[in-house]
Amino acid sequence: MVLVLHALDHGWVALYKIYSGADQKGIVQDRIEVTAKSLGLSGPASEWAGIIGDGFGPVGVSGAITAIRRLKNTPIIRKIFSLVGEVDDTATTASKAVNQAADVAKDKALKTAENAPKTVLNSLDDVAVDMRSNLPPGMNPKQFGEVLKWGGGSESARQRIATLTVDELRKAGITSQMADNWAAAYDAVARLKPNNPSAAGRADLMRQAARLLRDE
Amino acid sequence: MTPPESTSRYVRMRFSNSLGVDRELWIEPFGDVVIIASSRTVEIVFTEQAGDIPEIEIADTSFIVHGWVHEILEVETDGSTKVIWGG
Repeated sequence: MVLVLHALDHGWVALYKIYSGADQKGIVQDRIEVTAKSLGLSGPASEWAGIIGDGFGPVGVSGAITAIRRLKNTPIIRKIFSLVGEVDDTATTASKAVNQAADVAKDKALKTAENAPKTVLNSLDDVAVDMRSNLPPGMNPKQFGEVLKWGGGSESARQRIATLTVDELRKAGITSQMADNWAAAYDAVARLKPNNPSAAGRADLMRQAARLLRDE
Repeated sequence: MTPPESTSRYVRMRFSNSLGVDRELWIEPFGDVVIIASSRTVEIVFTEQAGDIPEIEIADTSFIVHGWVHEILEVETDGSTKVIWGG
């Protein structure tokens, strides 16, 4: 259920609750009309009209949300509640439940991915095969290095993190999955060759590349 | 003409440093490095990967080998070899 603050003509305001019916259509209840002045509302309606509450899906006046949130817990809102009755938090609870369910699903997916059997990279030959299979089509390893501009050594690779852009990665045909796999390959190189001067930094760089590509 | 298909899993090449000074040899894309001493020869062993051509780049202060390097051997004066990287 949501509470609607609806601007009418000639300085009047309609206040009403909308409940979600079984057929998903909104059911309006407790509708009253008062003057905007009596609520202490002034200025253009776009600054205060809208919906109070989080369950505004079917009505959707998101442009007013900021203004409404600004009014929350103010004397005006308390007065509106006293006129219409307290808005229950069913919609908010539902919204939170949806978000929590999404978080649980995300965690589950991440854990599944973490627990999924991964290619075991126990030799540099394994790493080579893995790297090669994660090159964009038509690109050789030298060209891949030229795109990443990782230089020699971990410090150089980590400095590159600051300038890496999603556009250059996309343009080169690199996907987040490729970048993840290259990061894992460099982790394996660092494990197999602990004195390798570049692998750890390049793993960090490729993780950042994967993040950029995922977050775009 | 299409070159004959190799039956070997590895491709080998030898590389000599005749610059009179030690030089780093960077191994890409692994990002590793070995030193090739002055007047020494190394044998670079690549894993065979169809379609990929190994490439050696001569930079100002180092050499860079681009390819799927399996191991690098130092070639002794008597012709014997010892692994200095990979293996």
